Amino acid sequence: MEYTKNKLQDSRILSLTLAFCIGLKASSPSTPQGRKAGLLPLLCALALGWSGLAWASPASPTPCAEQPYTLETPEGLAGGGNLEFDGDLAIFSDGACLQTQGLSLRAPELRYDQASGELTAPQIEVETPRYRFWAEAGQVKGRVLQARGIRITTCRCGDDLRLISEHLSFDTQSGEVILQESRLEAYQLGLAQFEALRLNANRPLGESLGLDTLAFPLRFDFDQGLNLGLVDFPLLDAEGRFSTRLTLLGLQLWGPEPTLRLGVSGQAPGRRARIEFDLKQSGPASRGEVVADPVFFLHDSTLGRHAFGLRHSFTLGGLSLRPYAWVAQDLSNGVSAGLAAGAELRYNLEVQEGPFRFRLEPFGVLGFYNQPQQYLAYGGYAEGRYEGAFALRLGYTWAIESTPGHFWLERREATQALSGSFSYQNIQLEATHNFLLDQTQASLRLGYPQSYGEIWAQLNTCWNCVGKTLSNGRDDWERRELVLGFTPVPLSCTYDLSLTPFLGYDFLRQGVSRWGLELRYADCCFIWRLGYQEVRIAQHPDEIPNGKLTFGLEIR
Amino acid sequence: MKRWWILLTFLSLIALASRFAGFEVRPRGNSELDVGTGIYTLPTGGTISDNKSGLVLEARYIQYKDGEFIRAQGATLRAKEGDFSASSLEYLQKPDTLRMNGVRFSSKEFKALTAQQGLLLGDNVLVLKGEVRSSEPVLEASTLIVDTTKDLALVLGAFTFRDGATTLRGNRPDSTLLLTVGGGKVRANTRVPADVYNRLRPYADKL
Repeated sequence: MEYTKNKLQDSRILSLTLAFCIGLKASSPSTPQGRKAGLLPLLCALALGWSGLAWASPASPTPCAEQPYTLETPEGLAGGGNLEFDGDLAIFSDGACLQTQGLSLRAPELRYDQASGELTAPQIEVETPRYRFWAEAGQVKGRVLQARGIRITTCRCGDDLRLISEHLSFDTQSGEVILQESRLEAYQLGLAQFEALRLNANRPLGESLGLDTLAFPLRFDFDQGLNLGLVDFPLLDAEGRFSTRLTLLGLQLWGPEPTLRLGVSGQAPGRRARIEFDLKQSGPASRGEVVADPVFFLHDSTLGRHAFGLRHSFTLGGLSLRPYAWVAQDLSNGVSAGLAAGAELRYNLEVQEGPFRFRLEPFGVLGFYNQPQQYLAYGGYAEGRYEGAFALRLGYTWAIESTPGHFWLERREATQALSGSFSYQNIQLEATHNFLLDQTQASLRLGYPQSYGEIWAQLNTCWNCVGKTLSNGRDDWERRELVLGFTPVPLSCTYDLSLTPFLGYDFLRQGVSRWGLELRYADCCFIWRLGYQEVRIAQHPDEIPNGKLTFGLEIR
Repeated sequence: MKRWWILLTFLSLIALASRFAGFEVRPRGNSELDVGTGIYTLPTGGTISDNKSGLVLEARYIQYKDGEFIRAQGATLRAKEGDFSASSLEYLQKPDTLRMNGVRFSSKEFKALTAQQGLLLGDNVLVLKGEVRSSEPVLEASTLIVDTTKDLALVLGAFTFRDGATTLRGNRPDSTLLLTVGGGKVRANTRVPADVYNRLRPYADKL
């Protein structure tokens, strides 16, 4: 550790460099792709620059293969400043190292017993693709590293985010790390304790802790009022994973209908659950989903939908059969409680010849109710692709409901749509024509990649969409929107800044449709994100004009 | 200087100092003597043996001068240090040195040790240079100095040394490796004691 800190200070003095990390990133406008349009001149120049002071990471130590003396062993490549070998025991001294798959180890001294194949070393420093750790002593045998007195970090420099552990077992083949009696600390503040924590040395720490997307669990934005609170705040479970999330949120505060939302969710292999309660003036509301294959329970008091049942998939080659049975109620469609049972049969055929691919997936659903009625739907999807110097895709989706379905669960809505996409270098075109609604949506994206990031423009259009009713019952409208933005290259330096702006213009309503700006800052351990996004002219029935302040935190 | 070539068909018994202190020459065919220079030539080779030291030299071509040198081509030499073969060799009585090209050496410590050049010195030190190779133990080096009396060898420069499943490499031009043989084991140490290094290192410059 001292070594690392000293090296860092040296490098700060010696290599204080001015680094440009400019970013203008389109924080993905919330409108879906392919529904916008426009033909007016560009409004804004978006190139914003931001410079940051970056100092290089500590100079990398000499690779093990370039040490003065190396020893190739079945356990990996060992090296060091000097070696004494009597045919049984090899002792590296004056700085030693071990390089093997997924592991780079350094120590002042290293002993290798050829007969037992065991490597032992005191005061080891280990690097894996994602972690650095230090141990009082360690031994490698059978490609497994055992060590005690562990300090482990993901940080590029320092160890402001770290795990302290009594004992470590590291399978260098699989990358699995088991830490016994460990605790997680951030800025020397204890966050959690684990009896046995499992990590993957090649995967991010957040993923191993069940924090795959470490979204900052604080919401602070405006639409019809102030929205403030915790969203999916991770809670530690008994197994040392943050698989349970808590939501405690005030919505539309000082607005027309202030709402307090309480929610909890959890996830495990094959099981997931999410339950939310809203307390508001017009009365309480709740929604939830519990799935433990094959059993499920769905509930939404706002929509008046409730269901409890069984469903499971059986597959044989490209054929899949999905029988189901449930009791359900859908008050939004005026359907009272009833029983349904049936099955869905699908067949997936895929053929590939060179750059050409073809896929055909026909399906059929047959269901019965506790009434003299049955449900029959059938259709499929056919797709052809070419992926060579350019990429071209053409697909056709069709579904026919010969008889109406009772519940939203078994329904396969009637559709006939032709879709296609074309991609060549930094040009992407996507289009869909719905024959039943007689409307066309299209989007065109042009990118201009540079060493510091990509400047891009995206035109979103929806043609002949006025008054067309969507599946959720809302009316659609015409779209001609142009969004300009800049996506910076991912932050790779420490103490770097980047800026990511975007700006959208609605050519039909003659005004700025959306804009946003996000600042990213990378320190040794985290990437901090702070941004503001505002929708000024909604481009889709599901979109609400609002302003949103966003926070984010990523483990580097 | 006028040269006198005399055809001789008898066996010679000549007393030379040092390594070949007193040796017996058995020509495979004719033996020629240049009376003017005193140099004997065995154009079809023969055998030179020293009964006292047990040295036996066989070669396809031999030239020697009493008390000064022996030169040979396509030679094999059995010595107490081991067995040598060389595409050519030259023995000088003063100083007592044996220089070889295209040398191959085998002893109880080394099997099939080959090098582009070899130098055997009177104080029982063998210097090998240029693509030094040995099959047991497996060794690849550029320079090897063997002290035959102390059963140790000093490797200079980049090297590869294999023992069982492990392979040791010296990766730098200034690498050193001291090999010592004892108890049926070969010990390798990259940290060479100063007295050993200072004693053996100068031999490398003599070749």
